Amino acid sequence: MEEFLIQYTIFAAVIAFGIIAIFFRVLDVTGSLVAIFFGTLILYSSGLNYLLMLIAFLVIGSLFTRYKYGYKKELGASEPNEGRRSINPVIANGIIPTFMAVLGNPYLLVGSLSAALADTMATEIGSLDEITVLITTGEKVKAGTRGAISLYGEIAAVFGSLIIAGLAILLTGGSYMHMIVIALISGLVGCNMDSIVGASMGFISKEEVNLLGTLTGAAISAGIAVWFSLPV
Amino acid sequence: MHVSFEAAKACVLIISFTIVFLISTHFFRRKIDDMGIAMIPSTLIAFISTLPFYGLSITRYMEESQALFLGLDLIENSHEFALGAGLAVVGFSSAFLLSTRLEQQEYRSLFHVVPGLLFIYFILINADVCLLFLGLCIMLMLIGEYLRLSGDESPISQIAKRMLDSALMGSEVAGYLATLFFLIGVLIVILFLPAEYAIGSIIILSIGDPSAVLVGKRFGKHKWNHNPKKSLEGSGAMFAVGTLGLVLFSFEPWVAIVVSLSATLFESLPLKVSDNLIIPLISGMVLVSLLG
Repeated sequence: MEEFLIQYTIFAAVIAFGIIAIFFRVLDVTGSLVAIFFGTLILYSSGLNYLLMLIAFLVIGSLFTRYKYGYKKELGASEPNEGRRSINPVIANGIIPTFMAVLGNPYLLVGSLSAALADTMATEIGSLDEITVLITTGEKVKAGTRGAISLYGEIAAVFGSLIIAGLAILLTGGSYMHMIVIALISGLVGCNMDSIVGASMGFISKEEVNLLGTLTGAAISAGIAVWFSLPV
Repeated sequence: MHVSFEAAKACVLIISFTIVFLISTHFFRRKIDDMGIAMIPSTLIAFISTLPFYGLSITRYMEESQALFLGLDLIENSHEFALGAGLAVVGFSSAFLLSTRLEQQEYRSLFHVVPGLLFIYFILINADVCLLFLGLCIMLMLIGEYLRLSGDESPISQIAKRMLDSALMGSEVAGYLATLFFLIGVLIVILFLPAEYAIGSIIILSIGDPSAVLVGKRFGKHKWNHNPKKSLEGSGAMFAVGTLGLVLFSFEPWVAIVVSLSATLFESLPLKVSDNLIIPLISGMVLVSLLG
């Protein structure tokens, strides 16, 4: 009976978080509904710690989107909708990490989530950079162009991966070294794969590019986990 | 995981081989004009990129491939595989016959029924075979897609383009990408979920989604508020067919209803990501969190 009570309390907390996220303009209403659905799935399969990882990703990503939002808007490199995530960004960035969290595998979760956060941070920091080049040709382009990379963006991607690694060590367990290696490699490869796909395939929507980035992160992390003979 | 580790490794390596191959071909193409010649060094690079997973030893590579092939029980299950191949021929040819009577989008979604059912059939016989087959399909799709979009005129691209066009029945060009996402969705559920859950997700994806398109296109009068492109009739058909399909594959009714309902609701959203990838992931996740 007590377990039931705890479960319901946490479930209520998830819904409350969804409402707070709307209030703080992190998500819009539809995005929040999808996020609550994802959160509930994770809660009933793997538990609170995995859910906290995804919430942390959402909050950190949103903070970086807000950073110098007005300036980015002038450049034309900002997220639409005042940075509030609606259904499509939530699904595109969140579905692979949610799937991995539901499976309850910390390494795969770290791989996909670090790719997602590295990409978000690289995009938000990199679009403030003065020199941005296209990843496929090295040609100098305007900040905010699809597939553009910059030095500060890449550094931000490293930090994003490290943040996820740190959170994972705190929340889901696993050895320090493995988590950091997995997060760094899959974050950087996933984030740059995102740029490559974005630069070379104009016909794929931005959301699908993001999704392929997180998928690449998950695949790379699975490879590394097998390499270190960790459970996949 | 119900598939063997070796098969999963082989399948993932086939795909990573293809990706490395395509990226390096893309870079070589800047220096070399002919696509065919640019592919030779990139094949080598892609092959070398898979070798670390076999301890950098070609002997081990050969041994593992041989062991994998012998482990597939191709001889023991030869009757079943022959039946599967026969069913594939019948299925694809009837889809081809139907194609003259249907619109493009209806035909494209109906076209996914045949491979979906085939994948389920092969999972029931031997999931490893299914996985390897899927890996090869994705490889062909990726290379074909690259050659098609590169707009290249060299002979090898023309051959690939012609083969893919005939395999996917001529005019079906816009459907490549949808089919690629379909295959990736099926791959993810087979790799990560237990066999029953994978089958459940593939049912919703390959039978539920087409019925939504067919019914919605023909009889869709009442549109959803949140998405004027999808109709209540289509979603209702998807829900009913998905639930029925899951119950037939011995899922409990309440599980079938919940899974089918969540997949239907996600399908009705105005998604910018291909729903062929979203539907299997959602139904798989719901199955895992309901049944553990």
